[in-house]
Amino acid sequence: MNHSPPKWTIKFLRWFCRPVFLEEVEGDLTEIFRSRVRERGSDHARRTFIFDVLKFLRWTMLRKPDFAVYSLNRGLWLYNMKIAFRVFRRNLLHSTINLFGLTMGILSFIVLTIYYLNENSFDRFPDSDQIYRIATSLEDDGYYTESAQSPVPILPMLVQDLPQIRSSVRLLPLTGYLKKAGPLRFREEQLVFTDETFFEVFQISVLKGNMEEALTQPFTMVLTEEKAAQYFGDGNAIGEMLIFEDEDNQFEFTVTAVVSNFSHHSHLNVDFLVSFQSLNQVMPWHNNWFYPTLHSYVRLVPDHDAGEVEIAANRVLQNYAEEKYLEKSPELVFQPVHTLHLSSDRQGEWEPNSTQINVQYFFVLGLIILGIAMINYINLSTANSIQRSKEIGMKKAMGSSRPQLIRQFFSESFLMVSGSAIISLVLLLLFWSPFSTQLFGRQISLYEFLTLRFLTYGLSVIFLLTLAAGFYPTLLVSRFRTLDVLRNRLSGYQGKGIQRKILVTIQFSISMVLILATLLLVEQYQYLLRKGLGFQKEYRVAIKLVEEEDKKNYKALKDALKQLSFVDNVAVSNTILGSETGFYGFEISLPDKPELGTFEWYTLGVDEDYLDTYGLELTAGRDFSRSLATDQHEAVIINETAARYLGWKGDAVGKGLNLTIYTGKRETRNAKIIGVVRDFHYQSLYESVKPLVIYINKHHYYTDNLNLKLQPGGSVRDRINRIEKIYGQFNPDKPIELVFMEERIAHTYHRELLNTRILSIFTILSIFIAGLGVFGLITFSTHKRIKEIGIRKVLGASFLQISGIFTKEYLYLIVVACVISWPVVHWFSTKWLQNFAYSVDFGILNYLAGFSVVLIIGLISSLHRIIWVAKMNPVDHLRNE
Amino acid sequence: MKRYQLGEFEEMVLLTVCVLQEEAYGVSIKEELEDRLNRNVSVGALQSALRRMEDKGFLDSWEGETTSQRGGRPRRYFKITLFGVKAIEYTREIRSGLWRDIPKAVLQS
Repeated sequence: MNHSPPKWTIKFLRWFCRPVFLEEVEGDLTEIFRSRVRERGSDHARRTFIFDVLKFLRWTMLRKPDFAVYSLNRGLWLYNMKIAFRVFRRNLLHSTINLFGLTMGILSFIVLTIYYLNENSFDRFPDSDQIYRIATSLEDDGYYTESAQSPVPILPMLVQDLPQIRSSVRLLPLTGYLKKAGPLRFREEQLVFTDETFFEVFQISVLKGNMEEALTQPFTMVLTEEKAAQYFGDGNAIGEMLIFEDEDNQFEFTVTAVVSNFSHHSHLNVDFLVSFQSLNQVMPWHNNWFYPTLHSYVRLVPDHDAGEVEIAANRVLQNYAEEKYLEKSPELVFQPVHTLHLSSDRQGEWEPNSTQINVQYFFVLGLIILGIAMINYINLSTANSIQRSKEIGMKKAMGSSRPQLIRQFFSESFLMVSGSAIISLVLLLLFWSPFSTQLFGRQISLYEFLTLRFLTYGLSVIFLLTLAAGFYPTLLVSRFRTLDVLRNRLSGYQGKGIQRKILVTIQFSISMVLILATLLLVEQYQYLLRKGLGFQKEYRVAIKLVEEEDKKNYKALKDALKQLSFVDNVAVSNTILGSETGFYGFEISLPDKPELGTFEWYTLGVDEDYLDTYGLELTAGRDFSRSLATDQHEAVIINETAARYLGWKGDAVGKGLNLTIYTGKRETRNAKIIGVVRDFHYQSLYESVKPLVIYINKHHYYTDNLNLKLQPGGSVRDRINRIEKIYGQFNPDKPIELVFMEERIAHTYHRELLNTRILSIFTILSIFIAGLGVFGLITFSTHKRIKEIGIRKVLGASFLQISGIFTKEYLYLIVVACVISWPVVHWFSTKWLQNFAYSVDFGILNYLAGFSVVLIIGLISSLHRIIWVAKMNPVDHLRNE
Repeated sequence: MKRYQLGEFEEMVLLTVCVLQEEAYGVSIKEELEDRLNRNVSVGALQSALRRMEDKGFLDSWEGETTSQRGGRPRRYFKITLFGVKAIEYTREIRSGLWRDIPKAVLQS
């Protein structure tokens, strides 16, 4: 018979019970146990004893964990905080710099994280993993083209044969004018013709109306909330009419539903949904394999592998598509809809997407900047703690334990980190909205991210940072031996400056990489903007002619504009330069080279003034001439690439070239090459120049733009007004659409511009923080060697010699940083520049520039301290001994 | 009068402590209570009630002799304080006031 309670229960009780209660409780329980043994036997007693112990598990009885006991110790906390504040105040310059650096680091990190999260939140609606866009890759005009769009008949064909497709929808965006009954009309760019199945694929919430029947009838229309408010105010839009006008016709649409606005987090950009059947009247010829193309989306039955469906879809395409289309060897590509925003860069996207790699780079950049800010904090506070050694020695002598000192230093770093986190949050709230649009080129709503989750993560990050930042200084300081400290013998601890040097070298290397990356981006961008376009873009303005009437009467407007004193020349063209897709490919054959057969090249239809307007240079032959009647139909100018392609150098002039253009009907011109124009980048600089044929066109099908060559100087505002006034005489109703070529070209390289902006701002920040690091290093080393310097001075060392000693110290760190960072930069830059058909030469001079920037920053940040030490009075620091 | 606030169980414990006089410690209070209330009283509930009332100032306690009965643990004896007496008197007054004011008819039915 066992007459004692189970051992483990006692142990358990002792573990969880508050010590104050333990004796009493254990006593009571034992006494009860004994009496139970007497009354009902030991087995019963042992069993009930377990329950009795378990019943003790109540809050008031629980032993509180040690840290909680500590945190209840308010006095010590307050004391630590007080000391932290005092240290901050006493070392105001140092602490402010430290705080500032940390704030900048945290701020950059938050900003770039928000950017990252925002970019990754596109198209993440329910079931978005089942939705795919069908894009096509094909050979168009002999060029491999990746298009975001697909021909109109594809989807119905696929749906018939593939049971894996649950629902599908086609979206065809058109641009046109919308109006209510009155004369006032608005140009709308996102009027999207779509199947009634739209809502089966995309789950958009319908605010008013019935979504199942919304788009089943021809000439029905669904509006977004925003547009409903714009056209109908607060009133009920359902049942109202909107009139859609294109060049020749008017169509009346009935509003059947209002949906919530399309999210900013979607690659889709839609204002109006219009029933697809309406296309039978609006664009009766739409159902063909070539033009127009549109966006096709499918929702698959769950658990089907998109890869298999893609293969099956391509098989269906091969079996049923039109012969002529299959000649382009098309291939269907299923793209998951939520990846589109970050990874799709095809022709005819809704709007330019971001690229995954950039977004990731920027996130990493945020981490890096936070990292160097941390390094800085560690450097500065270690340097600082050496200076506070007496305080620590005193504390140790008075009996402070190591954990207590550790706590003190962690409280300081906690105060610092949370302080800078709060400051950066305040800065974020103050400057976010103007700043984000400037920086990222799109409005990102901050409030979507300031959620409870963000705060939780934020707090844990602060906690981690506190630990990381406080770790090394704390460890170092708490290791000090009391006597050493008080007798001022810290050299043993200070000698380990090697860690600090490594940290500073890392900072220098990172800054160097960032500086060079910025330089690279800026130079490439400037290069794209300035050099090698081959045509003049400054003071060149294009007017878009949209209405057919205007196009027919372009000559009258052209002559009127030519009268303006500041207009040098005016030319008509069918495409504006700098456009990726706007060039028509027409059939060409060469009587001299029958073996080439018929092929397609890009063409540009212009009048006689065009070459002069854009300052295009001829390398051979002559410009079009008005005095030669044959030029109108029997002359073409080709570019150098075309000449080279055909194997003709200077002797292209005079050769025959047959060009077939469409002006409502086929018109084949048996033309002669009259000139060769120097290559110019009529598309973007991402792509190499392709062969181009320039011909005279005066048919209103292709008189799409008037290009103006203005005289340099003069007030832009005034000039625009005068151009508008003339335009208004011809078109009283329609506002003018002006394109400034310089802006347009800049727009083409928008992404480079944004990247440059983001990178340069954060580079400046990182350089700044690295500067703080140098400051910390120099403060530390001057302090360490102050006696040595004193002796040197006594022995006659000059100011320059002494500054030399310290300058040398970080100079060689910079050299080491160069050795580390330059190969990295070289590798990356070579890789990146391969993306461009024309790239800048990123040579040694740039590397040297980066080197000198870092050098100067280092010099500036250490100057104050070096001068101080070089000018100090040696007596002050020597007499201690 | 918030400072006299007593829960029902607390009141019972306090009264039992008075009844037991010199003999009031954990187990004896528990047994007495179980006798009178005719239900089980857990040690945990009792101990926390005792400590709570000690914190409030209704009870006083001191360590007694060590007995082998308790595995070498001392008993902790409890005694009511003057303040505690006031508290139970106050509670009783409220109760009897209520009893007084109950109309006869209610009790007869």
